[in-house]
Amino acid sequence: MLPADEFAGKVVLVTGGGSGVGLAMARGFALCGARIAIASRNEETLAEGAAELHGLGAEVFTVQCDVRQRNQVTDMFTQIEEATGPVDFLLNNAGSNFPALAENLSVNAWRAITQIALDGTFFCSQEFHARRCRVGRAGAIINNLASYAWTGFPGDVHSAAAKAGTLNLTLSLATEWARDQIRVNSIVVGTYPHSRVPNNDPREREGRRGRTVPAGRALRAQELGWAAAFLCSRFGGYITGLNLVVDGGDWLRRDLLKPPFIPPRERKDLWFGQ
Amino acid sequence: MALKEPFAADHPFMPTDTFKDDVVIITGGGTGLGKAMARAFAKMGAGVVIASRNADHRAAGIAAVEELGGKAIGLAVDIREPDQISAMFDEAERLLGPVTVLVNNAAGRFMAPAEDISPNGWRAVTQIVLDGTFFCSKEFHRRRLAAGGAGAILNIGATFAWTGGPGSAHSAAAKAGVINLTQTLGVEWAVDQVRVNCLAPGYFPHEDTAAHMKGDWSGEDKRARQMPAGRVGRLQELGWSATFLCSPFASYITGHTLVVDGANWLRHRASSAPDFVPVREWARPPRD
Repeated sequence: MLPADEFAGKVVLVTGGGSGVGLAMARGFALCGARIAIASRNEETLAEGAAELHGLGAEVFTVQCDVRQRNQVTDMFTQIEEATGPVDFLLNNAGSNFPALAENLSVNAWRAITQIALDGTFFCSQEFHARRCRVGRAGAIINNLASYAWTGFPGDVHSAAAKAGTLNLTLSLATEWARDQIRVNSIVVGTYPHSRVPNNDPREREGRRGRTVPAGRALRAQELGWAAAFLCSRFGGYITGLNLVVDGGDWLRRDLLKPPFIPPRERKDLWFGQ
Repeated sequence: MALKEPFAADHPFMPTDTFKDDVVIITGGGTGLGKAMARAFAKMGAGVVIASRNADHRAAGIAAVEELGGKAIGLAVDIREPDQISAMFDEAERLLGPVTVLVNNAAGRFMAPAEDISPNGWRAVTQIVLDGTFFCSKEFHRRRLAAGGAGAILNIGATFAWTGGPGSAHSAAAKAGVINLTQTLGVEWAVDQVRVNCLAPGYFPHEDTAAHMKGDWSGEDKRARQMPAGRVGRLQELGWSATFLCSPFASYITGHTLVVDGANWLRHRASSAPDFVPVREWARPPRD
């Protein structure tokens, strides 16, 4: 989409960039010449993601980091800076998720999910902003969202609340940091089957879930890459505080006729099942 | 500091042949944002139709496109009239080929306290903005379906659709309708491969900004200082967002309203507002 050297000499940090949505976005930047730094808690995931990005000819730096720990976030940025250069773009994609009824959610589980998604996004953004201001350079942040940030999601109260918080954070930070030349946007990601989503085989999910989307299919990796690259590029230079929805019209479905509502605690598959 | 200035308008963006097989109708394409979008599409190979009631505007739009080495024609149409819209599409097809992109940009607007908006004033604005958007979209979709081809529609919204628009009740209500229509049509027409999106622009001053809309905001400094971005929008930035949304690179984006405004509409009123001035003291329609 964009010129192949659009991000030449730039460094993008993708938290959770070893797989799924993060990896798809990282690919978009790799194709425009960026150096990629991917962060995750899991070494194996990082290795797999790095291999895929190497395949596109990108320089990749991997770093293990638990974004809930503020000092680890600082260390992560320092390591990346020393190895490959200051981070120019931050994609806050780290997140973890699993189906759970609210009544069964343990304190630890609640904290784990909300702290990775919301606290982690905040800490990384804060560190990014501080470093950009120190060297007087512009920057762009993209936060990863889902449409259940607006609607809630029975069976996913922890991630939904965290995403709602992240959406709001996007708006506040965009206004606070515009004069520092840091733009902050988010992408609401539609149905994107990939192996890390719990409890499903991506091929099976593509068929079933693809049919429920107005677009008639699931999202493709390159569509995420184009959206993320566009927002971070100079072509998106007046876009900040935006929540870009890339979902094939999915969240806008309003059907008068629906299958019977099965109370979540009676479902066999909490998220996808009847 | 302000948000960084953009690349120059002629900086390469998407591949230059992105729209080479496309015919784009831009209603109100002879002035302001419409003209800027016409140039952006033309740069990437589109044949452009400048649809407008005003002959001077049509000429200006054509000139703007031809200046870049692009191809454009002008067609007269009042988008409140479905028969005229149908005739316009017939003529566009005859001269340039099937229409594959529609930009519903034509609008009418004037400042007035709500109590002073006459029935004619109300109807003029809402019928151009909302009815016009619907009628043109319907015609576009009908023809795309018949041709078995895909297409993209881009509507123009406004962030005051979400907050209300004191001093522009008719325009704000109509734009709210347009954003809602974008969402409905996005879902209804996805199965027909017609994507429908919307652009909500911030402040993009241009040579055609009417004097009464400029009001007291003469000179960029005053306006820019009020904005989180520290500067106004540059027309090419609008063109890039518009063409992106209508391009194959936005193939999974539909029903969406993309705000390009430098976070302007996110300014929180309570913490930084001057004293409230009653609307009737500043919202005045133009003197004829």
